[in-house]
Amino acid sequence: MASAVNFYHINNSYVYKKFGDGVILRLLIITGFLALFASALTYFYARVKLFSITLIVFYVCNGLLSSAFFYNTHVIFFYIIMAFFVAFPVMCLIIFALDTHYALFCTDASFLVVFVWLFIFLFFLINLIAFVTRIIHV
Amino acid sequence: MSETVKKIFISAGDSSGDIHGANLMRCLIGKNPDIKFYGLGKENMVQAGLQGLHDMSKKSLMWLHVLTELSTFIQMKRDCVRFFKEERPYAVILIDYCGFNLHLARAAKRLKIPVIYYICPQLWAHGSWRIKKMKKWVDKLLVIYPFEKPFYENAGIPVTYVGHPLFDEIHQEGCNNKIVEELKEHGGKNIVSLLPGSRKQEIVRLLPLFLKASVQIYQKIPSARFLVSCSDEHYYELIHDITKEFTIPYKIVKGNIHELINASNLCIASAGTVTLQLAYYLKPMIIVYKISPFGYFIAKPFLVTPYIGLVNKLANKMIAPEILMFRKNISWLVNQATQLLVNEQKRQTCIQELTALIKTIGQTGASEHAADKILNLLGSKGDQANKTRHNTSDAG
Repeated sequence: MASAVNFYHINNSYVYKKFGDGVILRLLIITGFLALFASALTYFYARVKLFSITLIVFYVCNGLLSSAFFYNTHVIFFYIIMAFFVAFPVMCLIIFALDTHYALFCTDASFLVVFVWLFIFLFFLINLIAFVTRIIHV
Repeated sequence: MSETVKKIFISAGDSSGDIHGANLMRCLIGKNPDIKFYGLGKENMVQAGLQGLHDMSKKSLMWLHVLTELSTFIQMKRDCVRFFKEERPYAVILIDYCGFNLHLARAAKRLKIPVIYYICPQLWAHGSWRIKKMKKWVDKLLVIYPFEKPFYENAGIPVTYVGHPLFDEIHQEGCNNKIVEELKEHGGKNIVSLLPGSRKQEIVRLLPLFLKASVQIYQKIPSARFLVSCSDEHYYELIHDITKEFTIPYKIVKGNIHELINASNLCIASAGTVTLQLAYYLKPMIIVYKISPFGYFIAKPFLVTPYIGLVNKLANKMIAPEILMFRKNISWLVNQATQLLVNEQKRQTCIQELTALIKTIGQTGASEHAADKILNLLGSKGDQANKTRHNTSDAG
């Protein structure tokens, strides 16, 4: 998982060689923000398929950003972020989807959606703070 | 114990369910004195003859508060399941309180005990996917709103519309005209009642908004007087503390909800069953539900009905102004209240539509109908359960 989103691959890409990591990071943060906005909108209007797509885009962008910011310097922090802000919300969504389709649990699983959204916002916020900190340092 | 005694398990968690459950129990015992009730209920059900498995007097919890009592709920469920296994009741009757009762439904269904759900959760309003759970774990639904019947029928669940037990209770309790006259004397001809709900969270969330709006209504209509409902005396101090900060002519009315409604010219109420009481007394009303912006965002995809007020949902049109508030839309509230107080034509239109609605849904006898349906079901499924019980005991 970590190696899949390792920023090392981006470092060897054409875009990186041509423009440097600043452009890529900016692109990722903007795409991540747009994906977050689109996810919120599609969720609000209950467009399930579009919501799934925008959510995947959000997690890919923010996963790459976290990898860029933390993988080489704070690897444990990176894994904690991945576990809490990617694996846990995705698991919540899968449980909720399974419950709505197969009526598995007596307890209403819709409260899991609250966790998903709290963690989505926090995940983006962490990346944004890391991004801003990096700009200030540069 | 005699073989003729029929043990029925019944469960209700909150106060309104307790009242409806007690009425249902009395009707069932009236029709079949051999029935003996076991289960979960509060003081009304205990008075009606329930042999409680747990003390439910302080269990009416919402949302995260449930987590603080999680171990108690787990223990309660264990005890109920043990009762199902050891005593094999003829039927399990569940009343509202879906968060806990669905656990019991699944447990009973696994043991092949007939499960009857009386006063179903409002799946037609939000979270309609849970209908699959009802279909899996419930044998019969006894619904209290006419539009619920096709909703559940379409999902393939056996369902009967029995009417709303609230109208039985209004009929039984009646209205003390002396108190109504006393309240009217306090208020004059423009009495506005504020009904923020019976739970603490509702009172804290809604009452300050209602009072802010009342200050502006009072500025526009100086003859207006305000009655603040305090349906639970435990919260009198809370209501008093909130209300005393506002400079309007008000009176806090403990209990006496029928009298308070009857004395009013307009009611500002939280969305809930109280709006049906208002409709019964043909009172123009404004329905308010407050939610945080984040809460609204989370809940919006799950909302099924376009209306938050029961009367509007029942009429399938906006007969009483309603608002799902996530900002402080006090000016909207003030405008609607002023119009309903001053504009006679608007008042009359609202009253006429409420009259038409009450003619269709306001019949009494819900508990009687529900009892009949349950006894019919016990006649057929109860025998099967009885066979299963004997087979299990033979095998044991």
